[in-house]
Amino acid sequence: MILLVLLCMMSVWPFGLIQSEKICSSGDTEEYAHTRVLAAGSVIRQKFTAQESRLREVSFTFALGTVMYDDTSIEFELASVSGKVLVKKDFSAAQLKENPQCTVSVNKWIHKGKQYSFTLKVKGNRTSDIYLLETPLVQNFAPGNCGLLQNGQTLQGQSYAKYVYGRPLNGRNVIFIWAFIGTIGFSMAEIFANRKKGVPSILS
Amino acid sequence: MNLQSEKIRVLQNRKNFQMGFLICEILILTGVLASLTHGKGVDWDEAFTYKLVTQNNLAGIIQATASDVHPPLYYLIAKLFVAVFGSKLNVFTWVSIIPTVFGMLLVSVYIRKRWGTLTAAILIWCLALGPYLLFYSCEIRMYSWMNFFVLGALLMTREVVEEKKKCYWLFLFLFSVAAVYTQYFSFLPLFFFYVYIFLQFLRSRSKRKLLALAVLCTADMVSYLPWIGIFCKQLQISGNPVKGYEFRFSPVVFFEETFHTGLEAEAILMMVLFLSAIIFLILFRKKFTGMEFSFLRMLFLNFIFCFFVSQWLGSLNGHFFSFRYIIYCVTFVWIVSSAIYIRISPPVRMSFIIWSVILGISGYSSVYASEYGMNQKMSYTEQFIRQNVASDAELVYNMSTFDTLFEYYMPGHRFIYFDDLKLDEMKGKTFWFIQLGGRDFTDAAKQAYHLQIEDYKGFGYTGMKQFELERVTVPVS
Repeated sequence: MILLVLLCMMSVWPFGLIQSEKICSSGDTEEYAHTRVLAAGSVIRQKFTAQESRLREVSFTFALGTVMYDDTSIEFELASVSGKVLVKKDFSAAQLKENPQCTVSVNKWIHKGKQYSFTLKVKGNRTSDIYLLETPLVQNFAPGNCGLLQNGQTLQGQSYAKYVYGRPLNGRNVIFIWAFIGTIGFSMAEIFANRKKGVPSILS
Repeated sequence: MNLQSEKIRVLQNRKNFQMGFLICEILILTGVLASLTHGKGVDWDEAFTYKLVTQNNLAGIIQATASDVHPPLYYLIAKLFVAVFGSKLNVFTWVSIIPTVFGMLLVSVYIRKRWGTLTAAILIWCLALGPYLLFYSCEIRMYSWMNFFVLGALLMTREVVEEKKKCYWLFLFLFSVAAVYTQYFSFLPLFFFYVYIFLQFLRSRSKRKLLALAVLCTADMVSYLPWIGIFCKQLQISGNPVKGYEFRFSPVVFFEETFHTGLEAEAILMMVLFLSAIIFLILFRKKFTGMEFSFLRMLFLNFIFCFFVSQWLGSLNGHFFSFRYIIYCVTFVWIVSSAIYIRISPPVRMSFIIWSVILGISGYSSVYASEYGMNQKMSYTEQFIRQNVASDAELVYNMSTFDTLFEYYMPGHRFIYFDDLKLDEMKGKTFWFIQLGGRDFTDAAKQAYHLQIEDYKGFGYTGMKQFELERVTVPVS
């Protein structure tokens, strides 16, 4: 039982299974812009540098016009700089119409400081009025965003995006959670120890 | 015989040392609380207290509170302090800190007596620095006094059940009366304490004690009589429940609000710790005496009772309900948790002490930040107002009743509520507009009156919320 308590403590640190949330998002401003229309077959790619070693989710937002064909869909792909695909997801036209702010759950270990990118491929036979929201001003760039390309051509702004990372707990939080695990865990250990010793309790 | 006296001497020395340790802890923590008395900002409630106490005499305070939602005792205490020490803001803060110090002293005597020095030491720490409790120890409101009176009544409840001294009955009476005259929601835990005492006496079949309890209850009721009529009138005035009020029944919300300091998952962990404590109380039944067991069980049930009944009562009248009205529930959480975990085993004891210490330090940092975070900006704004806003200037505000807050910062000015503003009468004049959310001039009004608006964004106070200053000129034509 004591071993189990210690194992739980180690899962907080050094294993780092419990992490705090770090949000890196574009500035909250009214000065948004959007890319050129995302024609059928076009590809838009946002490069970013990982701010932490665990990526929980990625969000980006589209701006929709009046024309939106049902067969239009967006394929999301998150990949490392070497091309290794981490996550793939499709967004249908209906989904986009309901909520143009898209969130993709990633939950993957990545390398802090290394470059990754997410790619949005527009599928369908006809071109819908669909644009990706971007932030033109440097001060509003989401931390880590380092290049937005539309069909291979670099754009001036960066996508209006939000990255939710998991980051290791700081020392104070580690000890705090250790103390919690200790309080509950050692109490349970005491119950099992008492049962072994045959000490009368409500359990026995 | 010598051996016996030597033993008594050693025990006495140990007791003195333990008491000395607790007194040192209280002194240090009082110093820590004192470090939070130099804040410059007030929120709406604090501004209300300040205004009510400084602009009324004792009779005026009683009259004013008769039409308010809180009873008068706290304001009367504050008035006495102000009469002696002056009306500086830190005097008011001390009025809120003092009951916390009194509470720590009570714990050092009665919790130490019943639960030991370590439990008392932890509870003193939590009373002073525990999240929420610390915030309200520095808030210019009545909640720290309420917490102290309820704590006093709680400790006296146990003494009345276990001891024969009559003074405990008197203390219980005084704490009970003071608590209800400080905040109406104190009635709930007191009711539960009295039921507990009744059941204990009923079990022991002591007719004399039951009679004494009946006398105490009668005395309490008689002492409440002068205010009961006013209370009923307030209930009528307060009227129907506020439309759209969210009925917050979830204990998770309670823990999130009362145990929030910025640590990871602290509220959920505290809730788990508290609920587990009750399970461990049952599992480790043999480690507690019958009286300890029933007392802790009563406290836990009291928490549940107050938590739900207070919200239900709160939903019946027009005034909003806030968890600060049941701040004593936070104290119950700490008493139950520390009394149980300190008793289980040394590793559990150590873990719980570390937990409480970190939570206390974190609580202090978050309250320190909220007390002093805006001091610099506020000094800057005060200077701006002194230099730019003439003493006879008119100030328009757009959040109902917030003149109470602004008057604290800008005494002597004339405040006009946005809805009462007649732009026709302001032609040829310039006035200041305090923006705090709420309404703004419509485009039509701006065009019709050719309003010239100068934005002074960046100048403002924090309190309830940061507001922004605009200077508005209404030309003659």
